[in-house]
Amino acid sequence: MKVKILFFGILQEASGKQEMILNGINDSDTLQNQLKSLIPGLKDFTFRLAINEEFIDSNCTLKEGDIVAVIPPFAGG
Amino acid sequence: MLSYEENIYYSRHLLLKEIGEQGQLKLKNAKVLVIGVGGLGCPVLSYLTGAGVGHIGVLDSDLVEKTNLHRQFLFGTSKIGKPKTEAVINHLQDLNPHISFTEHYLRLMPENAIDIIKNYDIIIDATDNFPTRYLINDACVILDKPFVYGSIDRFQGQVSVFNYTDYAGTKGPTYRCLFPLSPSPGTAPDCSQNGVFGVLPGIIGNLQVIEVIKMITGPGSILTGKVLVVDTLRSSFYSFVLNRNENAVLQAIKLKNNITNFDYNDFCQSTLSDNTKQISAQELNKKIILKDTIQLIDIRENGCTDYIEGCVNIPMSGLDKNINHIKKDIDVVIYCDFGINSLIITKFLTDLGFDNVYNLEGGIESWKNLNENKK
Repeated sequence: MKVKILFFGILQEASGKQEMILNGINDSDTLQNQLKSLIPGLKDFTFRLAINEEFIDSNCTLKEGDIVAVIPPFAGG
Repeated sequence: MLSYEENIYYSRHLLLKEIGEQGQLKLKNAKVLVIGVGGLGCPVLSYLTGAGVGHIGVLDSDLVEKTNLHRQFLFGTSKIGKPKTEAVINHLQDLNPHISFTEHYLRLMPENAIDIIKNYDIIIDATDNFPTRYLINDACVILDKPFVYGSIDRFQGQVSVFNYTDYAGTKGPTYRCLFPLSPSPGTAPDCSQNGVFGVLPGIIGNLQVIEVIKMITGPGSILTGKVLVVDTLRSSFYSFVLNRNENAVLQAIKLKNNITNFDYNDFCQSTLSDNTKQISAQELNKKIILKDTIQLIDIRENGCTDYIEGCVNIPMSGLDKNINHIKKDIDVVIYCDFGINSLIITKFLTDLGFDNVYNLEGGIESWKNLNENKK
């Protein structure tokens, strides 16, 4: 099962990627842990996860083809 | 009623049946406060003025700087060094003589926020920092006012209408529902640290004004319960559904009688609870002059020519494989361009047990500034 991850803002710099595909992940908590182990320093960032353009408030099941956005706050104005 | 001159000025808006004379009169009677006269504030103020919002509050404590001009188009070079509020109001009054302005040449603080915001119908958050953004959120929640949020980061922006009550009386989410906690220092740099694509605030600011005009005049739907994220490099608009989180809203409501006691600067620093250490360019310079034994590590990818003499280059991408090259018995200073990625690495190493590692605050840029000032 594949899900697509889209990085926004400074998380593109922190991860060195705009997007990536992850395999075999069943829920958003596992995904978050996997991202933190793949990207050193990610745990220091504040971010929200959105699955298929909806922010999630708790652990959610992932299914094939889901798109998960990783969105940090933006400071500038 | 609109005057003869106003009928001419607004004639192209009056032709839109969704606005018409009734909508134009509603705009004329509206009071909107713009907090922040920067990249977002300039397009916001221009189009609020053109649309004929009858009374506009302009709030900022800064002076015009040369680095503002590439995106803050309301200022000419002749305005450098002048208060932004004064410079902008002179210009806007010339654009539209039918409306009035109030200048708030000050910084929004917990001590003045309620007294200022209570005089307006709609607030526009065009600020560049988190303490002010959380303060606007909380004051608007306490006063039950909607506010139009906008923020930018390099090539991307976020927009939403927060604390909006719809026709059925349902209240939408707030900024604290999106981000209950402020980001750790250094992990959400502003335009002065991270750069900004000059046209981006034009897009985001105009999206903010569109929401204000719709809220006042009525047509269409409002961007409540959704956060619009714009990515100019992907040429994409994403609309993320956001729910109201009553626990997060409560954090603002409970400040109703004591907002002046809440330290917003402290709140926005509070997540730096670990023991990550930083060093300024001046302190580093002192160490070098005193010939302290230190290890300087440049974590940028190869090919940079503006390195600090005596450094070793260990690119961030391969750092985890080179941990054994980092010394444990002397002070280690990590740097990158702006001190952002190096802060991440410093935290990473501190967590691994290195208690001798320092981040160079402001990165090579602050080092170069220091050395330029010495010349």
